[in-house]
Amino acid sequence: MKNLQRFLLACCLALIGFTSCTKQMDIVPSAPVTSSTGAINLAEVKAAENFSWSTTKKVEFTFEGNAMQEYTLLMQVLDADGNVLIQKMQKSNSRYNATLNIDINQSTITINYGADSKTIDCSAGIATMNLD
Amino acid sequence: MKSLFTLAPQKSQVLVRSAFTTILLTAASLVHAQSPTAPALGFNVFVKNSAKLVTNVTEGPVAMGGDLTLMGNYNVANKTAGTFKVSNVVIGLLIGGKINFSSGNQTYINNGYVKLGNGTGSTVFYKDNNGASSNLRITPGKYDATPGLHLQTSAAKLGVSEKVNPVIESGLIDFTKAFASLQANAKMVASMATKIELTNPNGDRKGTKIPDVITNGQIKINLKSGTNVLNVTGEELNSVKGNITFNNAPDASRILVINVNAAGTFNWSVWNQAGLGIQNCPYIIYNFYNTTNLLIQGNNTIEGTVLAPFADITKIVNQSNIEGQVIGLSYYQSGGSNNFATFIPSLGESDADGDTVPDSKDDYPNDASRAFNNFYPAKGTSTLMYEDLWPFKGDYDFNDLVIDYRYNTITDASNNVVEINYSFIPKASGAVTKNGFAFQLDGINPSQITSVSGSKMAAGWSALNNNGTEAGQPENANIIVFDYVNKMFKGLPANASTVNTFSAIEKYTADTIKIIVTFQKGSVNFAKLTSEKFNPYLIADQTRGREIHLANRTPSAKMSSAYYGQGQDNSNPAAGKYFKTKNNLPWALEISTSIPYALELTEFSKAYPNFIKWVESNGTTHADWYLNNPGNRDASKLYLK
Repeated sequence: MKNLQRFLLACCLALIGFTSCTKQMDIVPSAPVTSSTGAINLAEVKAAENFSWSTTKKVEFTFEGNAMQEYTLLMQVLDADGNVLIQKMQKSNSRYNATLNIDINQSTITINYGADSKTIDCSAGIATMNLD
Repeated sequence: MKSLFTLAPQKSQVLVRSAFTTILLTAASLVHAQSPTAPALGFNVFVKNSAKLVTNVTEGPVAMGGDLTLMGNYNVANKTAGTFKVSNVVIGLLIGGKINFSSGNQTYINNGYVKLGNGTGSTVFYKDNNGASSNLRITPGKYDATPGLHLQTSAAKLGVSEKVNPVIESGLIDFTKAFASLQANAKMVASMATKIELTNPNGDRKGTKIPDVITNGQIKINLKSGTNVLNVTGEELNSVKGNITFNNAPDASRILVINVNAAGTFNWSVWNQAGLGIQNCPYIIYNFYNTTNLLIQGNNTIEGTVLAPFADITKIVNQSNIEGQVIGLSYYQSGGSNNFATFIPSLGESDADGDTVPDSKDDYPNDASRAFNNFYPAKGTSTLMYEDLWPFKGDYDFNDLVIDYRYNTITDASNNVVEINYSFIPKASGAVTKNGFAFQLDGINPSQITSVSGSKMAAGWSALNNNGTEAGQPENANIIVFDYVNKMFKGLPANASTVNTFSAIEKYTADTIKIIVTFQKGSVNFAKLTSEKFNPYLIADQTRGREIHLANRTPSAKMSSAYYGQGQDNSNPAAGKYFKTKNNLPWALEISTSIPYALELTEFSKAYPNFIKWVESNGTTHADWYLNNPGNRDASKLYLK
C-alpha cells in the first residue's frame, strides 16, 4: 500500500510539474502554467470593487454608560450562538467602543452586563447598548 | 446649621475607603465588600422621592427625599430612632420635601426628632397654645389641626428651638447620591454568581434553580456557611406558593441573598418563610435590581430587607409585615409594620488575586496579571486558504496553503492585552514551492511586544529581534509562524512536494504550532487589538519580499513593491488596494469556520457551487455558501480524507 502511494505521489508530482498552481520564480516571475483542465470559471468572475471576500462582518460595538450610575461589572459580548466574543470589566458611567468580527450569517449580538442581558440587532454593522 | 452627618460621612467615607483600600492591598480577598444598604444610613424606610404612610407602623427611623403625605394613623420610630443625628440629636423622621396633610388623624414620632426640608403649608409648634413646654407638633395650621405630626418629646428635652437646630432644615441627606450608590450596589449584588443549594421539601432532590426542585409549590434551602446567593426570576419567586423552609436559618455566618430578575412592574406574591423570626432578618436581602414598579401582594410577611432602588414600592394589598429595611424610589404603605432589622452583612465576592475581578468571573483567579480569555474565533477554528502564484493567477483551487487557526487574547482587569496564544494547524500544501507563513499585527509596534515564542524557523532567510519579532519591521510587529510548511508535517519525505491535496496519496498530519506573544504591561488595550488587526500572509517560495495577503490587507515592510502590477495583480498601494486582480479577485480566502478545501487542480467554485453566486451578488445571496447546508458542497471535489 505504501509503495502504491509512493508511486501515485511520484505520478502526481510529475503531473504537477506541468500543471501546478505554483512555480519557482525569481524576483519577478514569468507567466505561470495554468491548469490543463481548461477554463477556470472563477477567473471569469468580476467582483464588486468593495466586495470584502470575507465570511465575517465588522460590527462597531458601543457601550454607552450612564453618568448617573457608578459601578463596575463584568461585560460579556456574545455572538448569536452564545459564544463569548469579548469580555471585560466595564464601568457603568463610561463609554466603550470596539470593532467585533462576527459570522456574516449572524445578525444579533447579546450583551451581558452584570445580571442584565440585552440582545441587539447588528445587521447594519452597528450595535449600541445604552445603559438606562 | 449643618448637620453633623453631612460632615461626618465625608470623613467617615474617607476612613472607610482608606480601610477598604488597605484591605484590598493586604488581604485582597473581596471585591465591593460593604453592606449594600449602607447608603441608607440605617433608616428603616429610605425613599428617594415621596412616601405615603397610611397604616400602621415603622419601628425604626424613616427618611425620604421628597414629600410625605399624611393620610391615616401612623407611628414612626416606635422602637428606635436609629443613629442618624443632626447636631447630636437623633432623627426619627426626615422629610426632604414638604408635608401634604391629606387625611386621617395623627402620625406619631415615638422616638427622636423630625427634620422637614420644606416648611410650606406646615406650622411647627415648639410649645403649646399657651406657650408652655409641650411635645413638639407639626400641623397644617392650628395646634389641634388634623392630620398632624406629633412627636413624643419636647423641644426642651431635645435642646432644640426655632433658632437652635430647628425642625425646618433642608439638604441634610443627598438622596441623589445615596440612591446612585444604592443602585450601584443593587447591580453589583445582582452580578454575584449563584451559590445556593436548594432541595425539594423532602431533601432528596437538589438543585440551584427553583424549577429544578419545587414540589407542590414548596422548596427548601440548605444554607451553607458564608454568603448564599439565589438568582431567580420574578416568575420563579412567585411559583413558590407554599412554604420555603430552611436547613440552617440565616444568621451572621449564613447570609441569604435573593436576586430577583423582574424588570418593569412586578406583582410579588410573597412566599411563606416558615420558621424565621426577626433575629434572622438582618441576614436576608431581596434585591430587586431591575424592577421599576414593585407591588407587594399576597398575605405573608417579608422576612428580610427589600432593596428596590429603581422601583416605586406599593404595599396596600399585603397587610403583613416587612421585617427589614424598605428601600425604593417611593413608598406607599397601607397595612402592616416595617419592623426594624437593618441588613448588616458586607457582601462581596472572593477575589484571591486582588485584581478587582471576582473569582467567579476571573479566568485566572490566582494571577493578578491576567483576568479574561477572549478567543477568536469564539468557537472552533477559522480556515485560511491561499493561491501562491501571485502576482499571477493560479488554478484557484485555494489549496496551495491551507491553515486552520484560533487564538486567545488574554487581558487583565483593565482590558490591557497581556498575551496572545495562537494555534496554527497546517492542513495542506498543494504546492511545489517552499512556502512560509507569518502574520502582522497591524498598528502594533515591535517595541510593544516583550517576547515571541514558538516560531518554526529553519531556512535562515529571516532574522529576528531579541523579542522574537521579525527584524527590519520598524512599524508593525511581524511574527514568523514557520518558514517552510513541509517541515510542519510529521513523517513527510524530504523530497515530497504537494501535501494532502490528492486523496489517493498518504495523508500527513501536522502538530499544532503554538505561538505565544507577550506584551509590554499596559501598552496595548484590547480595544485597539481586535481581530481585524490580525493580518496573516503566505511567504512564497522562500522569497521574503513576496507576501500574499488577504484582499486589501496591508503588506509588511519586507514586501517587494516590484511585484505590484505584474501578472494579473492590480494592486494600488496609494489607494489601499492590495492583492486583487483587475476583476477584484483575491489570492487568499479566510473562512470564519473550519471547512474542507478543494482537491488538487479542482477549481474552488466546483467544490463550493454557491461560491460564485455569493460573489456575484456582492454578498447579498448565498452567504452560507461555505456551511455544510444542502447544495453548498460537492463532496467529490473536496479533500475529505
